[in-house]
Parts: sequence; C-alpha cells; structure tokens
Amino acid sequence: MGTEGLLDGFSAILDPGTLALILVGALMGTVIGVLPGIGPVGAMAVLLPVSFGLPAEGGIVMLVSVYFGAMYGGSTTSILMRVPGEATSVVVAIDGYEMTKKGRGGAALAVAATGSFVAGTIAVLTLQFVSGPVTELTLQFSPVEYFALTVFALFVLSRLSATSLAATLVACAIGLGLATIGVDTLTGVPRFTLGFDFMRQGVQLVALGVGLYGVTEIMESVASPAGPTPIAKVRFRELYPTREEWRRATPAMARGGVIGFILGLIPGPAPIMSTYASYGVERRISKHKDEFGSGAIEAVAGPEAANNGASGGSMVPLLLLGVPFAPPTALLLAGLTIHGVTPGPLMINNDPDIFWTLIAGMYLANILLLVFNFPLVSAFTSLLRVPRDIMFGLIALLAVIGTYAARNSVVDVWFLVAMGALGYVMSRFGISRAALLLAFVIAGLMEKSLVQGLTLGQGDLLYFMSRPIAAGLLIATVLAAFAPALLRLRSRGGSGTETGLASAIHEAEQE
Amino acid sequence: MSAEAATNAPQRRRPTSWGRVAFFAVAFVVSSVYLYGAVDLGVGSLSIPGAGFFPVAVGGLGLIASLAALTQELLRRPAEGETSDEPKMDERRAFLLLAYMAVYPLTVETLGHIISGAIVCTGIIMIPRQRPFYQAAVIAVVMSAGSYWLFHALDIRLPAGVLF
Repeated sequence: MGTEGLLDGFSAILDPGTLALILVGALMGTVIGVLPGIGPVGAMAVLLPVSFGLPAEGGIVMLVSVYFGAMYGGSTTSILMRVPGEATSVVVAIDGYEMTKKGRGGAALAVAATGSFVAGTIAVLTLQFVSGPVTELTLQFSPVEYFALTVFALFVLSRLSATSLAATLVACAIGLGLATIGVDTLTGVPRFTLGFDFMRQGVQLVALGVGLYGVTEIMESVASPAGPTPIAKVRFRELYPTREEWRRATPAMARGGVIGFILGLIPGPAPIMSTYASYGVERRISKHKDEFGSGAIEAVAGPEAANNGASGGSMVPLLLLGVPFAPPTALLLAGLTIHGVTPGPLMINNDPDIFWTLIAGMYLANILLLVFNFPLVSAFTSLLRVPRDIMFGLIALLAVIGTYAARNSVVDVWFLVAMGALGYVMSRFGISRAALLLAFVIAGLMEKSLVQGLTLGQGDLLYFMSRPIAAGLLIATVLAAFAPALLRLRSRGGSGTETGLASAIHEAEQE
Repeated sequence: MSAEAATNAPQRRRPTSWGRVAFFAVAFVVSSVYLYGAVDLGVGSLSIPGAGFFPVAVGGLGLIASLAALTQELLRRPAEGETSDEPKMDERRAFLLLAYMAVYPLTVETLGHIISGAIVCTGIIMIPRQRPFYQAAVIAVVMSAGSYWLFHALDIRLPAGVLF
C-alpha cells in the first residue's frame, strides 16, 4: 500500500517551499477556474511554464493543485451566476443557480466544496491502494499490450466524443501525424521536416497543448460578445447548509465520488461525462425528484463530487501506465517530462519521491481547497470584476513565455500560434481538440510498441492477439466500434432501451 | 461554457456547415500529401517496418476519416425546426489576437522579451477598446517587465535583447 512512501511524501510536502507551491497552485487554479472561458486545461496550459524553473516535486504538485483548484473554481460561477467556468460545471449550474435564487447559494457552495473534497480524497485513497497491484500487473506488459492499450484509448475516446466518429478520427490523425514530424527515434530518419533543420526537433507538446487550449480559450473569450454578469454576494455565515441539506447531500457526494473515479479510468472527457451520469443517478434514486431542476441539493453534491472523482481517477492511467487518457493529464505528462520524470509502471520504483510527493500533494491540495475556498469565496467572485482586456494580455503573455522557455526556441512560438489557430477553428466547428492532443501524446508509444510487436512476432499480425490482456483490449476496441450501431439497431427493433450513461445524459439535458 | 464544452456536450444535429466541409476537405488534401511523403520514407515489411510504416497507417486513417467526415457533412440535413443557438462571435478579434501574438517570435530575439512582450500586450489590451492607448501601453510594460523578472527569479532566462 506504500504507507512508508506516503509518509515520505508527506514529509516532502511539509517543506515550506513545497507547501507554498501547493497553496499558490490551488489558489491560482481556483482564480483561473472562476473566470468564465478558461477551464482547467487552459489554466494548466498557461501555468505550465511557471513550473519549469521549480524543483521537480514542487513544480509537479503545483500543476496538480492548479488542476484541482480550477475544477473547484468553475463551480463557483456556475452556482452564483449560472456562468459555468468550464464544461464540467454545466450540470452543477442547473440546480446550483436555482438554490442561489432561493438564497441558498452559500449552502450550495459549501456542499460543492465538501463534495469536491470527499471525492478527491476517495480518488487519492483508491489511487494509493491500487498503485501497488496495478504496477505489478503493468510491469508484465510487453509492446503488444501497450499497442492494444493505445489503440483502445484512441478508439474509445473517439466513440465518446460528441461529434461523429469520422470527425474525431480526423482529429486523431492530425495528432498522430504531427507527432511523426522530426527525427524518427527508432530509425534516425528525419520525417516530414521539409528540409528545414529546425523541424528535426519535431513539434513540442507544450506548444501544442498551450496552443490548442490556452490560446484557443483566450481567442474565444476575446471573440465572445459576453458582457459583465451580475454577481450574487455570499456572506460567510450563509455558507452553512442545514442539517437536512447535509443529510441529503452526503450520500450523493459518496456516490458521485465513486462514479467519477470509475469514469475517470476511461479515455475521453470523463469529468464531463461523470457529472451527467451522477446527475442522472441522483435524479433516478431521489425521493425528491420534483426538486430536480429547481434547486435539489443532491444535484449539486453528486455532480460536483463526480467531476473531482474523475480528475483523481484519470491519474491512474497516467501515473501507473504512463498513458494519459485526458487533456489535463496530457499536460501533466508534459510537466513531468520537462522535469525528466517518466510516468508508468517503473515510476513508483524509479522516482518514488516524486510519485509519493504527488499523492501526498493531491491530499493536501484537496484539504487546502476546502479550507480556503470557504472564507475566500467573495474574493474569488470579485475577480470577475478584473478587466477582461488585462486578463487577455496577461494570459497571452504567459502562453508565449512558457512555450519559448520550454526549449528557448522561437520556432515553438510559431507552432504555438499555428496550434492556436487550428484549435480555434476546430472548436468553432465542433471537432474534438482533446482527441488531437491525446493522439499526439500517445503516438510515440503507439508507434514504438507497434514496431516492436511486429518485430517480435516476425511480422505475424496474430501475435497481437496472443497475449490475453492485449487480446481483451483489442476485442473491447472492436466492441466499442460496433456496439453503438448494434444498440441503435436493437432500439429500432422496438426495445427502445438506452445505455445507462446515455440515458443519464439525456435526462440531465432535458433539465 | 467553453467551446470544448460544446464539443463534449451531447450531440445535436446541425445543418451542413461549409466551414466544416472546408476543414475536412483541407484535411483530405493534407492527408493525401502526407501519405505520399510517408510512402517515400520507406514502408519496409511487416517483420522489419521502415520509417514510413507508421506514417502510412496514419495517412491512411486521415484519408479515410476525412473522406467519411466530408461525405457525412455534405449529406447532413437539418432537423425540422432546427435553429442555431450559438452566440455570434467576432472572429476578427480572435485572429487579431493571434496576429499580435505572432509579433513575439518575430521580434523577441532582437528586441528582447520586455519590448516584444509589451508590444504584444499593448495590442491585445487594445482589442476590446476599453481604455486609451497610453494606459494600455503602461499596463503592458508593467506586465512584460514583471514577467521578465518573475521568470528570471525562477531561473528561466528570457532574451534581454537591446535593453541590457
């Protein structure tokens, strides 16, 4: 279970410098999360460069704190103004804002903060307990399993995206294609460099991530006609939910945390899906169904806990398999790589200090967010009064600095601008940026494991089905490809049944 | 709600978007050129894959997917009574921001971070036209110089250029 390692992690984060970084990260994340338009990924993207000059442990736990803080911050504007700071807060906005209209906004904020804390703690505890067994399992992985895993991740992500499978696969192909630019690490052959020396280094993950998310989100905010929104004032004494509200919210938090953690293990927009799934579950089992849509406390507690549980769950594939399944963990991978840390099954043995400091940092970030978000809620909402033009300038400046500083390369800043343009166009046309980013990140592992698998199997494609885990993953990929079509056919045949998640999403959308 | 939220929100039928058609058409052309380049790299064999083996698979995926997406988009019909609920965006402003950001790589190595950063920030702050130029310039200089010293303190050296 790594209790000793965790204790070492806690002693590392109690260093005043690291402690301060976790606090700064959580607060900066919350601040950016509060601002409409800039979500958790955008927050991580623009603050990524700040971590470069920090010690590895401090820089990485700060990034995780930024992520958790941004997830929390998004719910504040959802509840008080019905302006979701990011997509994961859309569901919370439904009943959260209704509670604000009834004068229970403070209680909704308190329940959201507590739900985030409960779910975050469930996720971190589970991560701690599964790290040992999962690491032992993944150490048995050969290139065949890794190839199957990357194919599974891309395909499931494509299936779970809102746009058509074909459109998402186009995004995947762009990501995979961009990753092949530069010198091939397996053969040493320069690929798609167009004869330019500067292209031999390839496209940098920081430029791609910051461009696709950080720059795109500022572009959208600049282009958006949104004006100032009235902000509800919340006093500290209004932050206490009643006993009845606590009684109804507590089980919803636990359920949301578990749903979120499980969905966090699936490639794709898990935090968003988990909020819809949790809302659907709460609505279905609640004794107060009629209150849903007009201020049900469970509809705030469950989804808010779910999105934080999913954030914790998404750390499992990154830290234990080395494969990020979601954009925030892809950016965290960039942060780890910059500090020379390779996540995956060997991380727990090769970099135990970083691994356990990260786990302990996640615990502490959850506690700090709970402690500070109560008294500071008014301060956070007043940030919405900071002039937008200054905010745009500052975020754009951080984006260019970060991209330049990663490799001291002007070319990377050009890539940043190009990726910003591409991200904006994709976003306007509803094409998944997450698919592009994740495909780019896992392309290296996918190619390496494919080539090694083919070499080991002496060109026999059936070799990829010769190991049970790989075969299972490839079969699951095929099922993911055809199951939706089969289900559609079945429902046309008269049964009309929806899958649980689809049904939950549909119900939440109706609200 | 960010656009990514819209991307990840449950699917909604929409009318043919000529922007999407253009996007997939460009993706189709780029995939074709990429595939040609990939074959040129040397595909090798199944037992000894060459440098172009994986790119050929990627190019093939891009070609098929973009063609399928293009066809889907062209054949799409709006649902009855369907209207677009997207707010009108000022695209000119978005690309103006990008243009100002492009000033940074053009000038940073000669003028240095503080001057280049100040130019970029002044331009971006002026986009919404909420304040006079001199105010925007002062704020931009403070932000740019502040970021220079902040990153200097973090041991990240940004180009000093003509100032130091």
